[in-house]
Parts: sequence; structure tokens; C-alpha cells
Amino acid sequence: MSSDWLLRIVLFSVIHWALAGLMMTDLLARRRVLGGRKTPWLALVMLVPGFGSLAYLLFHPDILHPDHDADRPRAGRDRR
Amino acid sequence: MKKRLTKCFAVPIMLAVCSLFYYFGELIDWAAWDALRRDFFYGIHDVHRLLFLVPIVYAAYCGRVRGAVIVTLVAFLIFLPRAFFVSPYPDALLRMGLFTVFAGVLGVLVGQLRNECERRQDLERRLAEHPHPGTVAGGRHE
Repeated sequence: MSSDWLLRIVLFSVIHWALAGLMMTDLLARRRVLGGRKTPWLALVMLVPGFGSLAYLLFHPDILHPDHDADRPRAGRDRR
Repeated sequence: MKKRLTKCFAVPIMLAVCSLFYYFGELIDWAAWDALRRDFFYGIHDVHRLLFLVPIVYAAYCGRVRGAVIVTLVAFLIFLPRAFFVSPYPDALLRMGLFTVFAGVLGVLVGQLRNECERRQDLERRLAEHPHPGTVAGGRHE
């Protein structure tokens, strides 16, 4: 495998895990998720690189609006 | 309810529009829309990338630092296929990386500024409610 491809894979992995970390933090702090169960979302975010996090973001867009997040316990709604 | 829904989906919609614009040249090639073929869509995409500042700054304004970081990472994820497979120009990855770093820093700064503004407004409100000094922070009269 060439170093170019290695760089691509490493970079993509870094982006994937950074996004997945943020999504998993939100997922664990959330009371309710779409579909009712957290495990499938956790598997999707972890096992589908890039697209899993994008899908989670698309179906839970209030992650970007903490002011209007009613599904989160009070302690988790602090400004970050 | 409708307003809240619109506000929630504003950033994903912005990202979708920016992505469409960013890959419009490839879309034209794929769909064979020759009437829409312009040189602008096939040059260096540094200008096209600037459009992504809109969702990044908006997310920073609404979602603070976390929103800015998330949208910056998503934007970088959108840039990667062009850097890896499409762009014929030199140092595509470096240019995208630099833009992402600067946009991310800008977003984080906007988020911090918004946090600071809100903290000041909160303090002003509390001062207006408790005009006597010493009663705001600890609730003690000194």
C-alpha cells in the first residue's frame, strides 16, 4: 500500500472518530432518540465511517441547537 | 413548532446546498447537463469552499463551540472526496486542511463570543433584578 493511501485512510479515520466521539457523547446524554433505542444508533455511528455520524446528525439536528433541546437532562444542556 | 423545525434543519440544508455547489461540476458531467457547463465549476475550488463558512458560522452562533466543531468536521468530510479523487490541482489536501483549520477557529471564536454575550446579558438581567451590590453572586450583603 502506498503512503498516499495510508495518509488518506488515517485522515479519514481521524475525522470519523472525532465525529463519532461527538455524536456518541450526545447520544449518551440524550433521553430519547429516534426509534426509541440507543444501541442501533451507537452501532451505526461507530461502524459506518462518516455516513453513520451524518445520518445521526440528520435525524437529530437539535444537537446544533442546545437552547431548544428538550430531550436532554438539565445538567447536559450547559453551554459548551 | 414549524419555526423550531426550520431552525433545526437550517444547518443540514445549508450543508446540502453548499455540497451541491461544491460538486456541481461533477454533477453536470454525470448528468450530462451541457447547457450548465461553465469554467467556474471546473477551476480551483478555493472560492467554492468559502461558501461553507456560512453553515459553520451559523452553527457556531446557534450551537456554540460544539456546533462549530461538528459542522467544521462535517465540512472537512465533504471536502475529502474532492481532495482524494477529483482535484487535478497540486496540494489539494493541504488547501482543504488549511481552510478547515481557519474556518474551525473562526467558528470556535464566534461560539465563544456568543457565550460571552449571553453571560453578560444574564449578569445584566440579574443585576437589574437585584440592584444591591453583593446579592448577585453569592446572595450575601457585604
